[in-house]
Amino acid sequence: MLKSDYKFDTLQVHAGARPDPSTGARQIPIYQNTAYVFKSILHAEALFDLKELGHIYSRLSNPTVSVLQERLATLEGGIGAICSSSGHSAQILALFPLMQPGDNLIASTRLYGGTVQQFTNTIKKFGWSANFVDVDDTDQISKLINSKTKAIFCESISNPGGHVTDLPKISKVAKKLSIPLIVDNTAATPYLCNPFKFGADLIVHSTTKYISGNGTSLGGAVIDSGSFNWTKNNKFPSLSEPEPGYHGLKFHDTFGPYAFIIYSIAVSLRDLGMTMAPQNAFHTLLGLETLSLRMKKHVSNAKRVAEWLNKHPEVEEVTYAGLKSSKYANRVKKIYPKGAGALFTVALKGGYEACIKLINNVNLFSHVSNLGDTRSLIIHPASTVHRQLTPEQQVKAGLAPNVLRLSIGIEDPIDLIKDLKQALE
Amino acid sequence: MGTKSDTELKQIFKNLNTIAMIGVSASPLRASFFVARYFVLRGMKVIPINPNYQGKKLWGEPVLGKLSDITAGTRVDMVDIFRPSKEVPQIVNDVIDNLVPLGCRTLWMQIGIKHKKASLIAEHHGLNVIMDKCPKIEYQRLFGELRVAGFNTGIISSKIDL
Repeated sequence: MLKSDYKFDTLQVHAGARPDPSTGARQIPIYQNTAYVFKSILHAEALFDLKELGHIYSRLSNPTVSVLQERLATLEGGIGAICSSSGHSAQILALFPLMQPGDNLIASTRLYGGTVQQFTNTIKKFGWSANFVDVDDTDQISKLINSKTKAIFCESISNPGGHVTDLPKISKVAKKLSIPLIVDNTAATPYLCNPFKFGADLIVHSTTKYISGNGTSLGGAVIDSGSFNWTKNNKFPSLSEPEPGYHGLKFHDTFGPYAFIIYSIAVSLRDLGMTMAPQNAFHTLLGLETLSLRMKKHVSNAKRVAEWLNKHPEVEEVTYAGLKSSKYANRVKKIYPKGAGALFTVALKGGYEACIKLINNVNLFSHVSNLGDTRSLIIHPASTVHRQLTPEQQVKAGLAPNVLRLSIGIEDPIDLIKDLKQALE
Repeated sequence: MGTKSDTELKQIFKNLNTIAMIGVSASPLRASFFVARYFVLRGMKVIPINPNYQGKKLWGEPVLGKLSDITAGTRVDMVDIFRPSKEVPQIVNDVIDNLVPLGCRTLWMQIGIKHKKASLIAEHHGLNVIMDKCPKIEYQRLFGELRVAGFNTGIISSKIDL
């Protein structure tokens, strides 16, 4: 993990940005622009040959988006980052340089339902596949890894259950078998967890959630630690072998630790086009300036609401790992010392009917398919965001019909508890 | 040893006119070619040194077989090494004998190349020594180009002139 001379609260405001060189504007300008003028034929050639880095066309890079990329890379302690149109596209962008047709990845059974869907069905169209495993069972991970396995994929804090993943234990397995560990750090954010510190090689985000924070803008990001050796074992030909699209250039050979990000711009974004819009990057940057302030409040609110729910007679179980009684208390202390996030599920004794009643009766909690908003949110996963999962997958993800997902916002916790109380009773 | 602050690096780059590159490749796909061409495009003179291409021309300059082939009296500001670490001591001796008296001030070793003992000797003779880094990457990092591609430059500033 790359260390900065500055602390988190400073970096979330300053990293990647500078006063606009032509006007002195202090806030980051929105470069609502598609193409960039070349200085000369020689300059254009150098850019297209990747001999120089510069803006060519906004599908590849844009000055507003670049600020967000550098800020996220800095906050995560990575070497660089690329942004994308959504969290889902970020997942494809993370895998694209790693995978060939016939390759597979190991994925956590606790992943967000939309990711399980993407990894179960959609990636098959690229000739890729996923083997799902309880990532707490590292022996099982080792058993499932074969010569075609190119990544291990898990969330730091899982959606919806708020399960906290033992990243050091998993990264040990990944390192032993020279396979990159990809961690979705959406629900934790770099403020609560630093996956690179615990051995992750790539981080993905849905910036739509806590990073932007206000529920305004879709976006995703892939951050590279810059520490994985893509050439060793010849397992990642996109990065280690001659690239036909660039006259036989070998990315890792030529760009060293910068290979993954340069490949992502020059090939992945160029040809898949899942680019983040500059306007979205601007809104996301505005939100990101206050990430630590919001996360502190999200976490303290979540703790209070979860503790209250845990004692309620209508409640069967609260999965929040930040509960004093949680069996993951030690893991939280070690890997997530600033808190276990603000996302968890609650199982009601009254079953599906009680869930419907609660959703219908809340007045502050919004019934939406999102998380990480400043507003508190509620949803019944089995009938919505995890609907496409098989009943077996739903159980593995901890989603019986009597389970609701809560994303706790930054309102006053007393009001949130009052709202849940009147809705339950 | 072998590292410089961002301010020192900027100063080195601002005073850079001529670079001797030892072990530079003539293949346009090799990293060393990328580095050389990059500085040539920025108006700097690159003196290529590689016995395998001796007599050929790269970027308008004849390729020399060894450091001591540099025309007597030519001022070289920086020597950039693309050779295995074990060859560094001999290169340092050559630099001290031939180039330091004419004003050479910087000895740069590319990523993966390090030699502590030889570096101490070089520093003792007034050379700025940078080990295990790429001058192209550092130049791109310090003067804003890496920002374009979303890399972590480590640069935090509220000033307009960066």
